[in-house]
This record gives sequence, C-alpha cells and structure tokens, in this order.
Amino acid sequence: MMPSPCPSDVALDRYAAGVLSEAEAQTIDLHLAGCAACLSRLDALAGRPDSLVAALRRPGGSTGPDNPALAQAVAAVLNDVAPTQAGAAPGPEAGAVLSGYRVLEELGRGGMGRVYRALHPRLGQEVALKVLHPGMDSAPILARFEAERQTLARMDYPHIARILDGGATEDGRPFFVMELVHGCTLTDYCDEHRLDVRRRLELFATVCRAVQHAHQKGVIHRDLKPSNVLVAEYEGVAVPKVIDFGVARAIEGRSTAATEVGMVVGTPEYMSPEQADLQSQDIDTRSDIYSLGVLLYELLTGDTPLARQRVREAPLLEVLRAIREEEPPAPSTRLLAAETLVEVAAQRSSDPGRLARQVRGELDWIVMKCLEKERNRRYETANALALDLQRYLADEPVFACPPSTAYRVRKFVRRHKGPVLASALVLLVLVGGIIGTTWGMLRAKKAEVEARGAETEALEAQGRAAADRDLAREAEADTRAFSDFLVADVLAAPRPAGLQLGQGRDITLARALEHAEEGLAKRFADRPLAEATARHALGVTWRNLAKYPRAEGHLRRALALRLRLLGPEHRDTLNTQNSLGVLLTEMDRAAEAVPLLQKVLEAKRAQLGPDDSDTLLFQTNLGRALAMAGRPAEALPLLNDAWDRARGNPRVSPDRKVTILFNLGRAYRSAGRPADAVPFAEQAHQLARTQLGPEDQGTVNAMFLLALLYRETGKKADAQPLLQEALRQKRSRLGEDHPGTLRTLEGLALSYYDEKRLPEAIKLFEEVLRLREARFGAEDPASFTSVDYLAECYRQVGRHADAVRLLDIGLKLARLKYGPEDARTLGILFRKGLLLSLMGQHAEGLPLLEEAHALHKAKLGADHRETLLLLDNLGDAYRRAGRSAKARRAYEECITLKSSKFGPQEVTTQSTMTKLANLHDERGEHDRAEPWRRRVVAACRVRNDDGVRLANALANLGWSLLQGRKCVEAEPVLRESLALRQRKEAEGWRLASTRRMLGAALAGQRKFRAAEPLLLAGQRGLVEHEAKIPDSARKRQLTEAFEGLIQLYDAWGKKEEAAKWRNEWEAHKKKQSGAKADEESG
Amino acid sequence: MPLGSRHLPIRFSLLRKPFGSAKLLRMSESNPTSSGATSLSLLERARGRDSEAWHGLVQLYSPLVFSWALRAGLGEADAADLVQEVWLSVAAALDEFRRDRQSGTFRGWLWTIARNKIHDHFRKRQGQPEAAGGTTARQVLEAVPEQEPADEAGAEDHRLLHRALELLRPQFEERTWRAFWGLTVEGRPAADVGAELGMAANAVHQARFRVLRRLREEMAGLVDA
Repeated sequence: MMPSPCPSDVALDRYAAGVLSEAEAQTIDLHLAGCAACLSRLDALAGRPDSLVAALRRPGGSTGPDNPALAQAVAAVLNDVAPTQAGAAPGPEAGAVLSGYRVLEELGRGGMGRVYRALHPRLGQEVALKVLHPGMDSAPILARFEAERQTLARMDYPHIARILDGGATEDGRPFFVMELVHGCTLTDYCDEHRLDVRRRLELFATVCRAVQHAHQKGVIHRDLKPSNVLVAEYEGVAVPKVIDFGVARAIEGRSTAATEVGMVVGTPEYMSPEQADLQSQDIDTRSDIYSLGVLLYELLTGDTPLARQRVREAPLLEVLRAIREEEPPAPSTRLLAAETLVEVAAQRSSDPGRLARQVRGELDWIVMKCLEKERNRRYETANALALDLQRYLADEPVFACPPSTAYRVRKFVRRHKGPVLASALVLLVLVGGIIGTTWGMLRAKKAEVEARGAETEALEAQGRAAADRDLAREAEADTRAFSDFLVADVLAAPRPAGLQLGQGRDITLARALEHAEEGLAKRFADRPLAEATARHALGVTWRNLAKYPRAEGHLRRALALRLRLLGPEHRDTLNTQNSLGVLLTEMDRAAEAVPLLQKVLEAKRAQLGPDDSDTLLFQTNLGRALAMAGRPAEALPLLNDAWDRARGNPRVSPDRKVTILFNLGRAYRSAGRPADAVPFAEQAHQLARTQLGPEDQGTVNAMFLLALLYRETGKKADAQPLLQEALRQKRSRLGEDHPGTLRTLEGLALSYYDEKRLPEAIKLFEEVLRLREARFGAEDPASFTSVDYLAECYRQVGRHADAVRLLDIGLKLARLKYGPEDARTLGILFRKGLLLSLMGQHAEGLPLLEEAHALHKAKLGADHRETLLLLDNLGDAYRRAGRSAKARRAYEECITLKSSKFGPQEVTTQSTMTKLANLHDERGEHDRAEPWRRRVVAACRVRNDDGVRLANALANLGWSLLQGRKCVEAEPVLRESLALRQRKEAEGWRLASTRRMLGAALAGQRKFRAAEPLLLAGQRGLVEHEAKIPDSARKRQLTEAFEGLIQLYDAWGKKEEAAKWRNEWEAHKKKQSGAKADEESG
Repeated sequence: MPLGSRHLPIRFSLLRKPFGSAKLLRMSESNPTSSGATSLSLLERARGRDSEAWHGLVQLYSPLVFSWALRAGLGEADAADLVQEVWLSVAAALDEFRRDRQSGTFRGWLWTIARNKIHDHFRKRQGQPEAAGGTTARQVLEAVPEQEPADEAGAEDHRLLHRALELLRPQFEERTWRAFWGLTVEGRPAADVGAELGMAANAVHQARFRVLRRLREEMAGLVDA
C-alpha cells in the first residue's frame, strides 16, 4: 500500500487541538500509525497548547460546588427547574394587568420580546404592548426612554405609530406602549397582494416620507426592517406605518458586550456598515437611509443584499464584516441569479424577463446609492430618496447615476476612498487602458474613449480652478484624492497578495507600469505635486516588488519635489522620507536610512504625540534601521518603548502590533541575543496567526523569524517545520525569486547545515545563490550569508578549490556590504588565507593572512584578542610554509603582547611559547627551545593548577633536553612528570610516552638495567593506545619508542634483542601502511 | 395572581417539569469515536429539552454564578438563593437566547441576568421602591459592575472546563481518558504516557484528539476556544 502523504502543519495543528472532522482525523490516525516523522512533529505541536488546552492546564483550584449552600441550591435547581416549553415562558396572560394596562391577547413575539393587544386604562383605547424578554436590564433602558420621551412625543405623522408610554413590569421587564396597528409587515403585504413594482415603490416612498418626518424631529429609527413597517388597510387603501421609533435607541446599551449587541441587533440584514462597526457609536440619519435601501432591495428582489440564508449560517462577526466590506450585487443581478426568480416575479405580477429589465438601470442605481458603504455617497435625506423614486415613476431622469468608468475601475480594484475627481481621471488615462488589457475586465478601447472624455472635463475643471483661489485649493485636494487612489488602488494591485491591499503578482501590469512611468515626467510637467504623488506610489510599489534601484529613483525624486514644494514638516514629505528610509533599510543600507527616519520620527512625535499609532510605526521603522545598522544599544530601547506604548493600546491595530513585535524580535536577534528574541517572535507569530490569519504575510514573516530563532537557540526540531511551511507560503505568494522567499530558502539551508546534512544544505545554498544572481546580479551583498556558509560546506566536504572560489566572492560582497575593515570582511579574508595555507598554497595564502592581521591590528589594536589570534595563526602558516624566521618573529611578538596583555603565566601565552619551542626543536635549536620550555614550567608552578598542564610542560621540557642530549638534566624533570601523571591520569599514550622518555634519559646515562623496563612499558603503551595519539605526533612517538629500544640494546651490547626490535619495528611500519591502504580503498 | 410577586424561598413548583425523572436518561452517544457526525453541543441539547444537558449546564455554571454573587457582596445563603433565581429565569428564557449569531456569549447573557438579580436583591435590601430613580438606589446599583467581573488568570475558564471534562468522562474508556489527561492536561510527552498505559504514542495522540473534539463539541457556544 502506498503510504498516504504527510498531513500539513495546519492539519496536524488542528488534530492536536481536536478541531478536525472525524473523517479527516481518521486519515491522520492511519498516517500516524506508520509515520514516525509526523508523530514527532505532532509531539512538538501538542507541546504548544492552544487556548483551550492552555485553559485546561492553568492552575484553577476546586471545580465543583463544594460550598454546602451552593450544593443545596444546585440540587434544588436540578430537582425542580427545567427549561419551559416554548410558549410556556411566563408572560402576561389574557386578563393580566400591567401598570394599569389590561392584556387582551398575544399578537406575536420577536427577538426582543412579545407584543400584546391591551386596553388603555383611561382612554379605553386598544394599544400595542411590547414586553421585553427577561435578561435585559430595565433601569438604563427606561432611563434612555425617559430621556427621549419628549422627542418622541413631538412626532405626529399619520404613517408613524405613536409611542404612548413605557415602564417596567413588576418583575423588572421593560415594556413599551404604542399605537396599535392592525396590519402585516410591508413585505408580506406586498407579496400577498402581488403588488407590482410601481405600487411597491409608491408604498415605499410613503415610508421614506415618514422616516423623513422623524428625522426632522430629531429621531433616528436605527432598526428599520419589514417587521417595523406595518401596512394596514383603511377603507381599501393601504396605509403603511412605521413602528418602534425610539425603541431601538432606548434598548441600545452603551456596553459593547456581544450579548447585548446580539439582542439589540436581532436583524443584521438591515444594519448599515457604520452600525456593523461595533466600535463606532457614530450613527446618524444616513444609517436609516441605508436600511431603507435594504428594504427597497428586498421589495424588488425578495431577498436582502446580504442574502438572508448567509446571515443565518455565518457567524455574527463574519456577517458584520461582510456588511462593512462586501459590495452587494445590484438588484437586477441578484434577480437573475435567484433560483426563485419565477416566484419572485409572480409575486410582483410580472415575469422574470420583464422584472429584470424593469429593475436594471435606474432602480439599480437608486438602490445602490442607498447602499453605499460611505454614507456621504448615499442620499442626503429620506426625502431625496423619495423624490428620486417619484422621478423614476414619472419617467424623469433620476439623480442616482450609473457608475463611471473610473468608478468601475475602482470598484474593480475594490478600493475607493473619495469622490471621482478630475485629476484622478488624468491618471486613469495613464493606467485605465493598462488595467483593461491586463485583466480583460474593461475593454481597453471603451475605457480610453471614456477616459478621454473625462480628461476634457478635467482640463475644464483646471481652467475654472485657475480662476478661483478656492477652487485652486480644491485642486490641491484633488491631488490628494488622486494620491490616495493611486497608492491604495491602482498601484496597490501588483503588490504581492496579502501585502497591504495587494492583488497578487501581475507581471503584465508591472511591465505595463514600467512603460507607463517613462512618460511620467512629461505627463506631470506642470503638476509637480501630482508627479511627487505618482512617484511616491510607484516607488512604494516597486519596493514591494523588490525592484530596489527603480524604487529608489522614484522615491528620491518624490522627496525632492515634496521638500521643495511642501517643506520638511509636511505629512506627505515625511511619508515619502519614511518610505525611502524603509527602502534603504531593505537594501541593506540602514546606515543611510537612520538619519532620514530619525527626522521623520522627531516630526511625527511632535505632531501626533508619542502614543499615536503612526508615530509608533515610524518609531519601529527607525528601530529596525538602527538594528540593521548594527546599533542595538539604540535600537532596542526604542523598539521596547514602541511595544510598551502599543501593547495595551486599542488604537494600534493588530497588524501594527505584529510589526512592532516582529521587529523587536529581529533586533534582539541581530544584537546576538536570540534567546531574548524568542518570546517576542512567539508573541508576534501567535498574534498574527489569530488576528491576521495563517496565510497573512505578517504570519509568514513571524514564522520565519521564529524558525531562525529556534534554530539559534538549539530548538532545531521546532525550526524545520516552520521553515518549510514559511517557504511554501512565500513561494506561492511572492514567487520563486522574491527576496523574502530566498531568505526563507536560506534559512532552511542553514538548518540543514546545523544538522550536518551537508549535501542538502549545499544544494539549497547553491539554489539561493543561483536565483539571487539571476535576479540581483552576482554581486548582491545580501548573498553574503549563503556564500559564507556554502564555502564552509565546501571546505568540510573537501571541495577546497570551490571553497576558495566562493570565499573570493564572499570577500567582495563583505567589502561591499560591511566595508573593508569590518570584522566579517576580515573573517572571510582570514579564512581564505588559512584555507590556502592548509592547502599548501602558501604564496597565495600568506599575503591574505598578513593583510587580515594588518587590518585587524589597525582597527582593533595590536594587542586585541582577535588580532593576537590571527598573529598566532600567521605564525603557524609561516611555519607550515617553512619560513621559520618569520614564524619565530610572529611567535615572539605574540608572546610579548600576550604576556603584557594577559600575563606571562596565562594559558594562551604559554600555548604560543610552546609553539615557539616546538619550532626551535624542529630546527634542531634545542638550546633555544629549552628556556621557553622552562618558562612554561615555571608559569604552571606559579598558577598551581591541576597538575596535568605541569606534567605536560615537564614532559615537553624533558623532550627538549633529551634532544639536546642533556640526559642528566632530563631525568628529574621526567621523573616529576611521570609521578604527576601516575597520580592524575589513567593509562594512556601520554603516560607511556613519559615512561619511555625517562627510560631514554636513563639509557643515555648508561643506566641500562633501570632504563629497560621503562622503555619496554613505554613502547607497549604507545602501541596499545596508538589510535589515541594525535596525527601530528603519532609517527614521531612510535619511531622514538622502537628506536629507543634498538639504541638501548645496541649500547648495552645485546645484539639479538636489538635485531629483534629492528624486525618488530619494520613489521609494525608495514602493518601501519597496510592498514592505511585498506582504509583508503575501503 | 399577578406575575412577578415572587416570594422567597422560590417556589419551584411554578414551573412545569416536562421530563419527569430525567436524571436516569443517558446520552445516546456513548461511544463518540464511532460516530462520524458532529453531535449537538450541550447548549443546543439543553435548548432542545434534553434534561441531561440542562443538568450539565446547571452544574457547569452554578459555581460561576455563585462566585459572582459572593463578589457582589451577597452572603452565602443569599448567593445560593440567587443561583436558584438565575436558573429560573434562564429556564424561562432559554428559547429566546439566540446563540447562532455569536460565539461564547451564553456566559455574558447569564451575567446580565445575574446582575439584574443582584440589583433586585439590593433594592429589596434597602427597602427601595423597585423603580430606579433615587440617588441612594443609584449608588447601590453602581456598586455592581456593568461588565462581568474579570476572570483573573483564567481560573474560571479552567474550572469550567474541568467541570465539563468531569461530565464527559463516563463516555470514555479509562485508558483513553488517562492517555488524554497525561498528554494534554499534564503536558507530558506522548511516548511517556503511552509507555505507562501500554499504548503506542500515536494512540495517545488519538485519545487526545477524541476527548478534545468531544469537549469542543460539547462546549460549542459556551467557551471561545
């Protein structure tokens, strides 16, 4: 059986959280039984609790009703209380008296309460009594009702049902008393009587005038819907009456708790976008206009703009969002799409074709004008709506007009901010045709023709503007609208999907813009501000498409224009300056960005205050630039401050919060404090995932950062799935070669490198570099990391030549990116030199090491730790190249500097002394080695450390003395070393070696009998522990072991023994080379 | 008798008990793992006159209501009475509580009811007339917060969920339960939990999924998670 494909992270996450369907879960069950990799992914996910599991794990204390009084109460409830049957809820029954009103019968019930027919105590008149459900707090409702009572009393209109009274029942349920209307709802009435469109419109116009009357008296209805418009027949004439004026206002609480909203709302279908915005308390008469539009829509089509079924099925918040954001289809469109069209048409005494034709055009426009999201685009008054309907009924042209080309283009790109303006149309000439051909949405020719007409209008408008100062200011406002339009709409389109209004990559459009912008300067020759606006927008768009040089040109030009025309403090100037700063930061030129962004922040702080959401964004931009410029000491406080101010600030949107957190995490990371960065990155990731959605750019970025941090803080297992997920997202959204995608690919490669999966790492690094080179050229500084690591990979797999070639590139990039004297540049220089030196290419390697050392010395000082490390290595390289004099001088200088800097007895100083002594010994200058060895021994005695170092130092001194044939002096030194080793060390090659040397010292004094056992034991030990001896010392150690024995027996005159050991030695050498050959061929 | 002239102690007999001795009814779905269908949530079943679900709801939320009353300054006896009163109101109006439009608001609704009851309590205490008005009454009313008291550190959520788990526990085999508990509540590695119970690690995860899914189903509309 084929194994099933591994489930996605999202699926596993949902599995761990228990939110998958049973079928999906079973697929995963099966898969997990056979896939250890997924099981361990799941382990990681299960360890990170979601909110439900987190709540389960939180400490909580007792869970049950352990209080006896409570337990008793619960028992009583369980025994005696059960939900009542629908209809059995306690409410006034016929005959009951409420505040004097005698209840006659129940008329109906709704979301808020029940309505009864009742008798007025004094007038004997029948009234409608509306009693609210329990659970609503009566006091504030009644207080608001009292407050509005006077206003309500002023309404006196035949089509408005009067509110007569209000109060509370004995059990605290608020009730309202109003004029009783014997009728049914407007929609029911129209459908039951099969009213045609004309008669529906006439009735509806009456309703509009009633609403107008209320508005004039200062009352807003707030809950207009069919059930609040009743139609009664008086002597065969249909008379609509609007009921419940003032009720919605009274019930509406100040509280924004969802329950209360839900209770008041009841019918979101009819709610205006501003009402659907729970934060907004800003409701005016135009909300009623919107609701009237919905009502009219329903009268024409039989359904509400946001289809009723969807309102029923979708969660409330989604419904509210749709009301605020979604553009409903025009009534005629909805009619043609309706499955019930035949029935709907029949109810209107029409047939489908006729009804659709009748609605299409002017009625569409009238309805859609009511339903504008922006209320200043709606009818100003209910009367204006009624008048337009009358004009329609009288076959006169209506005020509502069809959407213009510009309007349609803007609808198409789904953003529209201001009225259609002349200067915006100038731009449309520029891009209208492009959009048309690109998307095939508008026929280019038509757009062009219409746009040309618009251009004429624009020119005329300009002419008038020139004549009048006020109009000139208007033109200035036009420019701003144009700017908004350009930035937010047209040019936002080719931004990558998910990034600030972007519609997705559209290469055709991007190319088209490239062409269009050539004519930009000419087009705006006499309108420099408009040119600045266009260039700003283009700059930002190109930046987001990672076409940096192009973006920089536009932004610099826009900044220059705005500085000249608007001055440095103007909002637009500062915005452009900020955009340029962000661009430079992204181009790895953060140092240039910092002063620009500093000025922006200063000005914005003064203008908006330190806690403003925009100020915080600019502060974050500056913090990020400082961090990228290697100035963490300034960046971190700035970013932390931004987060402190944004954290609990409701005016800072979630995506800004994500941005701040993300940059804070990144700044800690670039300051070399990944562990401190993790909590911020986790928070950013969490916030972005829940608030912006799993596919949002912000989420993916945070995911990537988190992955890098996990990697750097040793949680490598957590990093890989995040990286792979981020890579998948970025590839699909940004494209294969977008810098964001490439950074992620690089991150994945790094994680392979960490796990020593070098072939995979090499493949990915190579891919990153190939794509980067294709897009940004071979010398793109951002390639540095990949180059650096790929070189290291090559070195580790033995591809030295490739490594050197890459380090060459790396060196060039590092010089570009960090400057010639930066530590990273010098690091590459050094590594290249070292690699060449190790490869035996001394002529090439040594100059590099010399240069690296010289630069370090110049930059950090001769006695800086790094400089000294380099000097030490330089000495080694000289020694490898056989240039002993230079090596000696390097070591000597190093020793002098280290002695004065760290002290002569420090380990690092001794290490160089030992190297120098080795060098002398190698050259047979044992006398010159000896004093250095003695200094090391002395230092060890001063330091009084564990004895192992002293034992080593003594052994080294002993060896130098033996080489210099000073056997008498060597003996006590080696005895001391041996004694120390016997105390401190287990049997091993060092102990064996020291034994052997002591044997040699004794043999040199012709104390053969004493020497023999030591030499034999030494030889045995060295052969036994041969594998442990470092490569560099093995051959010498073994040679000395065998030859020591041969010399002993030769000097002692034991020819046979000497011959035997000669044979042994030959045999051992043969065995060695044989084993080596095996190893190489195997 | 006019409605609303209630006397303490509450007379439960005012309300009909449509199910007789419903405590013996068991939930039909005793083996959730075999069922592919999403079962109704506790709230939905309670609204559908499932008395077991109603009992669950009362057991889940009574401690919360009780704690609200205590925090508002009621004595234990008054708080216990208040718990009963709140459930009376809930029972009467459960039909009218419309959950389908929003998530996690049952508690808010409960709070609104409880708060009104608390108001009533203080009004009576002070011998105030029932209608709001005088400044003294207002001072008392303002002592009760408009919003539900904040659940510091989510302890209420924790207790609520654990009570819900207790109600679900009989539906699962002991081993499944312990696997879920070890992995999810105690946060131990699946392999360890499995080794202890003689289960494979994937079976432990499976147990976690089943129980969490059941909990989510059961608590749909009651908690946000």
